[in-house]
Amino acid sequence: MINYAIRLRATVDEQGALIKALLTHPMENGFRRNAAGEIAAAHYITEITLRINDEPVTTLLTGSGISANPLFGWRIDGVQRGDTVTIVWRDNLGNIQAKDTSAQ
Amino acid sequence: MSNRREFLALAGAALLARFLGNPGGAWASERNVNAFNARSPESVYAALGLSAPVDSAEIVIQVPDVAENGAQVPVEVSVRLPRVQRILLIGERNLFPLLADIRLSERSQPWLEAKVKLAESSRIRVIAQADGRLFTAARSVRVIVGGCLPG
Repeated sequence: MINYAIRLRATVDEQGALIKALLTHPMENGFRRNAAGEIAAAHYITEITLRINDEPVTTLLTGSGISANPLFGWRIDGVQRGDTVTIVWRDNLGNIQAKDTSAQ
Repeated sequence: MSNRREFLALAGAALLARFLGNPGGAWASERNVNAFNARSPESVYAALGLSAPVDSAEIVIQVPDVAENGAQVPVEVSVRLPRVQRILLIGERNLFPLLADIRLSERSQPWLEAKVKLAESSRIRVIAQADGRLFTAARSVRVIVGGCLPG
């Protein structure tokens, strides 16, 4: 089973909140060959949504051109310490993962 | 609940359950598959139905001039325009040039950080939709080892 761990951090400052997410995902574009010489099937995240206290604030629609184990950063206005920050993604195979954290 | 690990697993499952099956429109469901499968920047614009963007110095793209590893190219985009609703990231010479189509709400600052793949030395193009109008800027990156196909 693939490990899809998500690391999420939200830091409140004068300009809102800096949110950083490190996802674990192979982001295979369907053209690469593995060590055995077989083509690895396409497997990549297609959509990522960021929510603050359950309100969607940003959606990224993505293709296979995003790096494996992708790192993202956003800046969101009006985030207070203690607000719940949630990230959810789904991929082309229908897998879904979510993680929330409290803004610091 | 005997231990912390069990608690975390249960909390994770409850969080996940909220997003299964698109309750309350959790997903945007407007991903343009044709644009992501397009093989040239021109076909990406055509698939998205975009008019020609205007060059703008207000889009600031930070990328390394030389990227050792095309599989992990850090990109930072900052748009100094009001009411930015959408940002497109394009790797002009990739097999599939459209990297990401980002929708921003009013609470999202027009700033973004991501890591992308570049197949070869290429321009990274950013298109920003601000107040309904389209603007663009590009930066060149020299790639030492391509990030899409096996070397």
